[in-house]
Amino acid sequence: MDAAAVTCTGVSKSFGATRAVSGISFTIQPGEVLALVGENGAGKSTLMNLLSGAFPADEGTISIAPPGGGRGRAVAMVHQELSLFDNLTVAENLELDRSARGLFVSERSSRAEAQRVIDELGVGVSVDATVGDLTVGQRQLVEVAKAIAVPPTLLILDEPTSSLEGPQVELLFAAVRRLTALGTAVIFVSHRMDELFELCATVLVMRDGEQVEFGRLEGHSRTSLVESMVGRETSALFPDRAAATPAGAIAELELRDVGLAGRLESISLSLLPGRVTAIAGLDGHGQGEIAEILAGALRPTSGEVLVRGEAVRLRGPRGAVRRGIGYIAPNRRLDGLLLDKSVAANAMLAAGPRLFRGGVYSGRRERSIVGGIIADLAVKCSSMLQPIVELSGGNQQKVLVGRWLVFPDLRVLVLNDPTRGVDVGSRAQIYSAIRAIAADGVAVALISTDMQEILGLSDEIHVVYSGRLMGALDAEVATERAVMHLAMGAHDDD
Amino acid sequence: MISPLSTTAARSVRRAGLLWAVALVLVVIAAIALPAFRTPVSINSLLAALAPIVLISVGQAIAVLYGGIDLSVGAVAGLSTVVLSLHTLVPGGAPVAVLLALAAGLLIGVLNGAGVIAGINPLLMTFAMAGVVQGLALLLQSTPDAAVPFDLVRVFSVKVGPVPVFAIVALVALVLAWLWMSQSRLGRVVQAAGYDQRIAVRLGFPVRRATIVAFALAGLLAAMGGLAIVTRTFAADALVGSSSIIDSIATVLVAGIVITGGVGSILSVLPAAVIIAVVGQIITLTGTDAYYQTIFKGLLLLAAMGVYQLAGKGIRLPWRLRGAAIITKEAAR
Repeated sequence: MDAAAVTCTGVSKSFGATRAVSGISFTIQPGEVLALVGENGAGKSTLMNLLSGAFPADEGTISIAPPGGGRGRAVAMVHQELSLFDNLTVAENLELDRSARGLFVSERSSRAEAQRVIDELGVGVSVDATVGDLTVGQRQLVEVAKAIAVPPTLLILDEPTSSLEGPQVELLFAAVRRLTALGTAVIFVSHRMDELFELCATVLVMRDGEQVEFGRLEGHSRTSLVESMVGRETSALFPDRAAATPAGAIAELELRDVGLAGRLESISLSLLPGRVTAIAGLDGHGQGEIAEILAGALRPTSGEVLVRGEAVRLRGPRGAVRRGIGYIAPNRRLDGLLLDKSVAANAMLAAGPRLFRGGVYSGRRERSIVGGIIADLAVKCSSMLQPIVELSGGNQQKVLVGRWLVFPDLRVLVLNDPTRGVDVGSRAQIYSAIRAIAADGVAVALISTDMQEILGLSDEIHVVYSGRLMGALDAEVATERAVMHLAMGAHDDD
Repeated sequence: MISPLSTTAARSVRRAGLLWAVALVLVVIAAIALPAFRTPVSINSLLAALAPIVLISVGQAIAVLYGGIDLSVGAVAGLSTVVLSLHTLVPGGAPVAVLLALAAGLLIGVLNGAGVIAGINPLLMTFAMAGVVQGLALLLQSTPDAAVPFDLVRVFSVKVGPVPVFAIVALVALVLAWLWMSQSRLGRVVQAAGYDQRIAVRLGFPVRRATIVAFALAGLLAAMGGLAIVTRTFAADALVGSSSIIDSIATVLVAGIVITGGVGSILSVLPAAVIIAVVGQIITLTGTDAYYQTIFKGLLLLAAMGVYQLAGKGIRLPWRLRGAAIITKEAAR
């Protein structure tokens, strides 16, 4: 065998104070498929971006053999997020990406080339179809077709199968095998174990930005691979759990057989007062949609939403708030905060209209309420009039949680990824505030991709996989392994 | 039987069928009902009124397809009439003044594009530019010895039958701009970036070049529109283009070009402009109060938006708010 296609030596990358990737070393031979695995936030995306040259490494070297024939690209990457233009046709999208010269496009050669690539992949779409009219799976395959139109040295596939159906997955695998026969090295990222074992020869396991393991995949079983990905201890971040809720309590909020066209299927879920109910799963398997349905931001296409046993239609988040359902959205800068407004204004945003029914705010009362939030959650700010944009992410998030802490008649609190980008110290304070809210009899829904958070904070864990609930676990006894097992699509008895 | 046109371009021409039909029916009805409409004088004045608005709207269409907007087209058109009147002061006289007027439009467009690349929202950039350009034009307008070169303007006003020469220029510009947008590589990049700039930047397309060229063409076409206006007014007037900002945007939207960018056909600017101009002509010829024209334009715009809303089920448009116009690699992560 000739020289390696890709060689990484001691590659590291930091963003600010966060070390996203540290000390990664591996090689891939031409024609070899490497499985890149790790939990969410383990640094896989950063490593892929480093390989594709989206940004340079701080330390270490990456060398990639020049592409054969001199025509292709060294690295082609299929992102999880597609990079097709819905307003153009398949042929036009492929043409845009070709490095052909000349001022004008030749329709004849553009279409012929597109047809060749599409035929080679074996996907049944017309090259004249507008991309916006294709199904998600078809688009994903067109994206793959674009990447392999000219065989690259290294092809990176980031969860390419998440939106594909069975036969489409077979097409993709056949294409990958054809490419590897031509000498292309492939990095394959997937959370579906079966696919990894079917396609890959070697494996690189990452955890918290570091390389845990690099070697042959053969020696591994599914269990040993999951263990290698997970293996870390839980710290004492989390408050004590609540006492068990008496049997027969009415669910504050319940989903009964709820579906959302193409994204969720028969979700049934009860949020009991005083309990933290977690919805776990890997990124993009539908937990975000469940959160938005609970918060009234999305309307399900089938099934029922019940508030205290009564079927309701939540007319948007406003209707949900009126029924005492609070929501903390995952992207606080976009969906949660008025960035240029003061800490006080942000803290009073939800509760203000309830506390001051006449519409006139009493300055003294507002100051005492906001002061309470700042003291309870240890928000670090120079004054309650400081613009919230000047606070750190952790402190911003504390204000968001505090916003619901002072909301009168709060019955349900939906937390969607409440501690993304929040430091450990703030986490502990946020966790104890959430637990305090629950102890007041509020039903809390915790949607997160952070396993540690799910296991430490919740009373009950529901695991979602490709839009379906795979099962419920008691958080007292659940292990990270058991949750991951379900989150990767394996059944309870498997 | 492979068409030399891109599928998307061919498809948007077919989709504009209703618009062409409405324009045609309107012309036929006007021609039958109003004998005055059929006279060569009326046809000539209709076409002379169409030429500038088509030229300016084509420029606006390019800016909108890019995902931006150009609010400086009116000021640029005004400036170009003023620059033309300075022909007595420049060596080479009137022909050089014409080139200068066009170059000024091009330059302002390039500056707009540069501002957008620097991260200024196109709306704000071109709005600010409109103020600067209009002030400059008003200052130049009071230059002593400035006068519109009548000999040259007479040349511009030459007619082929009842058709003014600038109407032909406008038609040629329309077709060329359409072909450039649908068939050139850079035109495709403009459409792609207009639809989703973030992806275009991530894929390494020449988005900066596309930005500059899109706004430069908008500026150039606005300057040509200014020259077309002079052939009717025979006067240098810095404010002459002020109504063409709203008119060009209305024409582009009636033409079915989506305001968020990337979707629509420049060719449809023609029937849209014809509809607006013919109704204007009818209002003039029947002696109806001219203020009805403004009311009509507003209602037409609403009706067109309603129709497109109902018809636009095929492509899902990104209605999310757009961020900074050019996204750096760091921000695209």
